[in-house]
Amino acid sequence: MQYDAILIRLGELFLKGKNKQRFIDRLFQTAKNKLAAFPELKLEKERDHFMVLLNGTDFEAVLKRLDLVFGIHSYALGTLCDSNMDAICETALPAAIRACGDGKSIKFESKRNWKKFELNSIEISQQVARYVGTHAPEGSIKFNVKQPDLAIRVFVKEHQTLIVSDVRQAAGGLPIGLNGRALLMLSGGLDSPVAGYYMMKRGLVVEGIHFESPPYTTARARQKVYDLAEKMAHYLPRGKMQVHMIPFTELQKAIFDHVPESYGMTVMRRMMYRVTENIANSRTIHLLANGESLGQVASQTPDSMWAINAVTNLPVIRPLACMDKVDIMETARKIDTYEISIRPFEDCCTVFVPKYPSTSPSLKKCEKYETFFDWAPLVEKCAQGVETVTIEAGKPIRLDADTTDEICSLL
Amino acid sequence: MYFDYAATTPPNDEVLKTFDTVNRDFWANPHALHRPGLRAEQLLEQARGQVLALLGAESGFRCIFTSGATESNNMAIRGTAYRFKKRGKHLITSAVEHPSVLTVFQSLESEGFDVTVLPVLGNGTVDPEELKNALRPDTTLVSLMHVNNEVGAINELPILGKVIKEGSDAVFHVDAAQSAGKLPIDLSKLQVDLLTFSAHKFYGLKGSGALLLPEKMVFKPLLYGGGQEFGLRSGTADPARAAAMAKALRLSLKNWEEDFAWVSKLRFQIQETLQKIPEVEINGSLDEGSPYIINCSVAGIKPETILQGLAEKKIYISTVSACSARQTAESFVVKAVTGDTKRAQHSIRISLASITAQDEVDGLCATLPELIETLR
Repeated sequence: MQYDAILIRLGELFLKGKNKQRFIDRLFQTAKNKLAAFPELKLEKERDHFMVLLNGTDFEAVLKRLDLVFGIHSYALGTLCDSNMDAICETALPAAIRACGDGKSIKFESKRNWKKFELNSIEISQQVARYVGTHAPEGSIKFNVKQPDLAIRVFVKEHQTLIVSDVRQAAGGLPIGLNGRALLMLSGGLDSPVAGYYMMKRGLVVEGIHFESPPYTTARARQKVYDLAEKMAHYLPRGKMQVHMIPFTELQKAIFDHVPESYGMTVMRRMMYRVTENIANSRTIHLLANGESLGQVASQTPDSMWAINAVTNLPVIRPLACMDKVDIMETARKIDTYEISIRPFEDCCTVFVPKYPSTSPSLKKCEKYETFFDWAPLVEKCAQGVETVTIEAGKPIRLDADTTDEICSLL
Repeated sequence: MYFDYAATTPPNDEVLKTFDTVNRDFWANPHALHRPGLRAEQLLEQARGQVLALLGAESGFRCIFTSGATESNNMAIRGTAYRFKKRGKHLITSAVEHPSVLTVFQSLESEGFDVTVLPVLGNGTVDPEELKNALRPDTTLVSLMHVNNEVGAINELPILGKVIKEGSDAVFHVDAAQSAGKLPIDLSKLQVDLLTFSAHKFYGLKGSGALLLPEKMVFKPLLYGGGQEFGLRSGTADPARAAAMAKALRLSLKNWEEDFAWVSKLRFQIQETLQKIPEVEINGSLDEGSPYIINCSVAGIKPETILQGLAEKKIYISTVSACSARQTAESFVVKAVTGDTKRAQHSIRISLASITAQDEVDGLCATLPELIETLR
């Protein structure tokens, strides 16, 4: 089934007050950018929805792009016809038969923006239903006026009428870019990109911070982070994500030289938070985020979180805190990061894992152990050594660009 | 003058160049963690991506590199049959499949599976109605070829896929050894779950093939080991063969329409010649089949005699498919298509390629009628 038009219904923007228009404008612009690859289609802004005129463009391809735009609640897919009853009835008939073919019951609902139209909205619905009822093959239509599975909607405007016969769920959330920024601790595992996804869904622009410990971590770990960022970049304004790469080796070694083994992991994470806060400050970001989920590993018990979180005053959002692993995995698959995340390479969190990390560390002990060594210069050095990489959607960065050219010529 | 391209094609120069370069510059183990390994892996994965993209399988599918269609067929059929054996043990295939499909089903039958072998129509294709009737609630796998290797019949994948999906929960496996690279295949538009092919049928290298399967599908591998190829086919991957296949597929699909038109023209000429010889019958359809394969039965003369007679003039054709040639003189495919044992015992196959030249066909068309007359 090919449709002529997609009516884009906006998400929870109705909750917004005076700044609603700003959200709508931003959403419109984002959607427009995402659809720039389809020269044939036209995107129009109406009062409380957008209208995509497909002009022959494959609607599935368009929806796939629009699925990357947060702030859209649902898509209504429809067929266009002239604004007269004959055309409307003829167009509604196949749509109704097809809808009922899927085993659904239907009813018609009409709306006329063009008040000069010959019939009022109730009369339109009645007449279309009567036409469909008499012209459809025997038994092919199931009406249910009270509780239909699908309401086929007829929107009559002056120049054309849209008949909507399918509704699909969109990405939801809020338009990205108007709710500020967050700094996401991006490890390379399954959880952090999913956490980033949920942050972006609430309209935040997310930047990543990644700790690497060469030579303990390899180039493949870095490639993994780049590839994850590329997937996340699809949701961001202009399709770009910034990732801050932190050289962590020296600090990490110092921790394992100066801190008792069972507290090594806790102190390491405290150091990571310190560096992260430092980077956030330098970029005037006031919100941290990560993929921690309660009870998953030793650092994610309530005691651990308390001991670790104590080093920063910035709010730390943990979108996955109460999610089950299977749900996280499902989202990772949906946003295409799953296959990347499961690539089996060491990251800095898995390099120096103590045999028995403390699952209920005490804050006092952390602070005591940290007095054995002057950490500030090393934390500062980590932050100074940051390398910021901008990763663009659809243009994955290959660590070895020459290789990419070489490979393309071979294939 | 070579007319046995359905058995194999010569590797393309560009493909050989890729194979050579990769073996020189990307020879590291793609699973090694060092930089050369990373480079080799990148090449392997890009080749994989290209194969998927060329077959409309970018989303939802995986590509596993294998040693060829035989291995792919074995893996796909055995894997699927056992994967779903709790749901059902009924499997469907057709009477004209390649031995690497049929014999797997025979062995599964001896292991307790219930196999329905569908007959084919006079043009060599599977009748969708027949397929529909064969489907049962416990059917878990239907395996049918796209283009038949002996008579060139083309099965209508869109229709067959629809019949299978509407009538059952069965997985649809397609052996595309004779169509990959010659006909466009778009998995995003077909209801096909598994697809197998070999590179050497489209100017790639022997010992190289692929199995395309749904991302979410898991089954027991044939080879256990280091867990390469998503755990489905262990053993050090060969980036050179993978790259060569990706390149061969791209090159052969680039001009598929022109090639198809050219080969159709040649086929027409050969067909006209054959139809003028008395007691020569064309097996399979005259107009619907793949132009790359022509099959006919010559009454009264043993196919080997014709083959040898032509070979003396440096014209090379085949009798039954090369994979069956050493076992039997009778073509079970021609038997299934025509229902005629005599015809099956007297069939020859002439197979063409985009590189077949006009003067080769002229030579064949001049020699064959004369030879048949002399031999009779």
